[in-house]
Amino acid sequence: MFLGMRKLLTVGILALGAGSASAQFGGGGFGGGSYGMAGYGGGGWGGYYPGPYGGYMQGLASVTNANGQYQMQIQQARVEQQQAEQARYKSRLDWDKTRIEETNLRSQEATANREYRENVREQARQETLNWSRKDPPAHYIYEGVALNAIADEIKQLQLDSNLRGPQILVDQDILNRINVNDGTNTSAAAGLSVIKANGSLNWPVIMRSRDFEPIRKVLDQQVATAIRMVRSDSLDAETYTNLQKEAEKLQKYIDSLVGDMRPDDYIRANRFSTSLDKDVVLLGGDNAKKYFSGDFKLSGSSVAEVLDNMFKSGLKFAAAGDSDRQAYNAFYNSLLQYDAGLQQLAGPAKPAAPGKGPAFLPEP
Amino acid sequence: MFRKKAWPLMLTVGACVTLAGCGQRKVADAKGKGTPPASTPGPGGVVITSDRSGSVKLSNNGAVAVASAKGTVLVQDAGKFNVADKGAQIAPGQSVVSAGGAVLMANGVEVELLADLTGNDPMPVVTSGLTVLKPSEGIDFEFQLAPGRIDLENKKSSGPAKVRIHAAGHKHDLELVSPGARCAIETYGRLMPGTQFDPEASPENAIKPVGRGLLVVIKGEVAYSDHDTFMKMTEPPGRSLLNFDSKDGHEPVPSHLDKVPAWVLSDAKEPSAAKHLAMVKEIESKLAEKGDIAAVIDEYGSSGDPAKRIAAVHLAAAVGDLPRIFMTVNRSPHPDVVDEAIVAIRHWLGSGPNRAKAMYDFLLKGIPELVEKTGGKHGGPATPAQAVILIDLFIGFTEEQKIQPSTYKYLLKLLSNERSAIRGVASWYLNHMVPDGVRFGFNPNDPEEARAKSVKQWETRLTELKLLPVAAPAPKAPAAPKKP
Repeated sequence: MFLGMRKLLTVGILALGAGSASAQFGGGGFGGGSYGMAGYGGGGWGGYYPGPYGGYMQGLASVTNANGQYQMQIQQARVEQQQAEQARYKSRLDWDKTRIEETNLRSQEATANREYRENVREQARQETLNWSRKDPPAHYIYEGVALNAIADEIKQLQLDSNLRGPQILVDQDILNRINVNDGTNTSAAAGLSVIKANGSLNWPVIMRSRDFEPIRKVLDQQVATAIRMVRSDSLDAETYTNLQKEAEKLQKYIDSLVGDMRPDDYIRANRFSTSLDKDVVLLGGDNAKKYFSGDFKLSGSSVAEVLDNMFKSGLKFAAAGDSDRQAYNAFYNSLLQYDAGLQQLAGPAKPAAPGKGPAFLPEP
Repeated sequence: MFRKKAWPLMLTVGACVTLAGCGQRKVADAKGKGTPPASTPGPGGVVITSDRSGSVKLSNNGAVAVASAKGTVLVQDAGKFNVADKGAQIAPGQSVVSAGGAVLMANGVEVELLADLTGNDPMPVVTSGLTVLKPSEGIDFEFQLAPGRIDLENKKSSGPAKVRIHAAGHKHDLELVSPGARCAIETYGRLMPGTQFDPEASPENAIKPVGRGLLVVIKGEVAYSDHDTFMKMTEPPGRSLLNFDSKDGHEPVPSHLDKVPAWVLSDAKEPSAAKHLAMVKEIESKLAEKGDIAAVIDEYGSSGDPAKRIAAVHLAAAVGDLPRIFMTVNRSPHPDVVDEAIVAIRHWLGSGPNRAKAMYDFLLKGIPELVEKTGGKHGGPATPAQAVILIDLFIGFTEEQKIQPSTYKYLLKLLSNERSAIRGVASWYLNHMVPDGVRFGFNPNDPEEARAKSVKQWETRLTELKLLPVAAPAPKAPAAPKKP
């Protein structure tokens, strides 16, 4: 019973699908109602398998056909998917390639930039060195720029050639007047310039007059006290603040005399006062003790010894006080003499590489 | 900046007084086309010369005659410069000043005093001058040279003309070998920047200007000799140029020239020079008409025409009339007069020995006329300190000083100085060292309130440019030591 009903149901379903199948396989072709004959399937020439069985077969074909279609579509979809994958893969490859090229280009640019910067720096260094060696402006010497440029060159030349220059003796009085620091501060002036290692102040001549005597005495005393305390690591806030106040007073006093001071005198006095302010700041700094303990002091009997000691301690030349200028000139001449001798021994220096602009920029 | 702007105007002054034709004649001479005036030796050493116009000039040994028109030459007499007539005699010991174009005749030597018309000369020659000296034996014309441009030419009918020049304490002999031989001499002097004036120094030990000189043979042959050098020079091409520099011990350094340099042959008809000629002629005729340079300076100093104002200042400096320079500056509301007066005074200070001391004495004395006119506000005697400051400022700053913040601070403070002259010079330096500060319009003669505003602007600008000394950053005061 159940089996029979299932068959009927199946046939019914298939019959329902026949309509659509006949439309494809001839139902509408030669069949037509006007030529059909009763008793011969009622469908005219419309079906090869007339009757219920024909409908079933037709439905079955349709199903098979649809199945094939489906498979074809699946296959097609797979092909398309594969193609898409390949395209994506290719695209990824292309993208990677582009990225690699970009990265390479950037790397080249960075290298070129770095080289360019290095060349520029080297050129600037070479320029400073050339200036320093040949008749530099006075302030190049007094600010320590020329001395540092030549000393750096000597250091490199000694390292490269393992040679030492000629024996140029240095007067200790001159050496005591050359100021140095540890080079950690980029300013060449970052060294004591008017306060000397022995705790005294190098007053310019114009400030040794009677007009300046009262303030000079006070400052001499306060500086000496402060330095004593710095040496024993006991500089207290009160002493330091008092020293600052006295330095300010000095500046105000100089300014009050501006209408009576000739240009050169005022410039010297003002420079002294400005330098004193900076020195006072250094006294309150971390390295203050080193200025008086001998750590920031040049030693040696010849230029070679002085330089060796400087290189070992990592010291740099600092700016000169007004009264140290003659000593700076003298030491500069000795340094120049040593440098020339060393160059002769070491042979001609390599010419500086010509400056080359970055790859993406036109040649400068 | 002002300097450059002012050049054409200075040249105007340089060209003032009879320029017409003088440059052109030089060119013609250099090309050998000029016709030298006929000269005939007269009785008693007197030389009678006739020029193209047919006028006659006389000169005898030791005396020099003015051969150019009235108004071209100013001759010093009893400390005062007067306008000389054509044919006037200049006695030994008298000084002559010309702003260009003056011609003197001395024993067959034609002396032409010129100035840089085009701005192309190697030295800033604004005026020319000399002091006539009694000629030594065998010398036709002897003189003390002042900064400027002088051309010498042998106008004799035959034989050499011998000239002895005293410059910067040295004697230089020139022999213009044959008639028509011509040479140009240009000199300039200035006190070296950074030199400190010492009011107590004796004349021998006083600061001296550094001088530079050039000698160019334009035509013919010229023999040069001094105490240890003798050299023969010829017109170009050849050894035609001598360089002197008192810094290098006055040793002459000869050079070869292929042709006469353009600046030597500068033509007054060149466009750059010709455009000033109208005013030059006007000044010339004014000088001839009034016969008093002070009157011309006063008239031009108060003119609305900047070229005339500036001409007035340089004319005053050329004759060393310092009071008139200060009065012109004081009277004028125009900053260009202040600027040009400073340039003119700097020229004057470098134009002879002991000028700084002369200026010091003048400043201590003050300008009574100006005191009277301003009701005591200006022109009073300066204190010794003020006089020294002013002279040091005129001498100038060294290159090293110019980069020092302390220098800027000093100048800034001097803008508020009680003396307007000091304020003016300080402002002049600041304007040159920081040109964009010109826009603050500082005028030393303005009322105090207006000046204070400009000073504040200057201070702000100099601080922005980091040209003022920077106070060191105050560190933390060290902590009190811990108790053990």
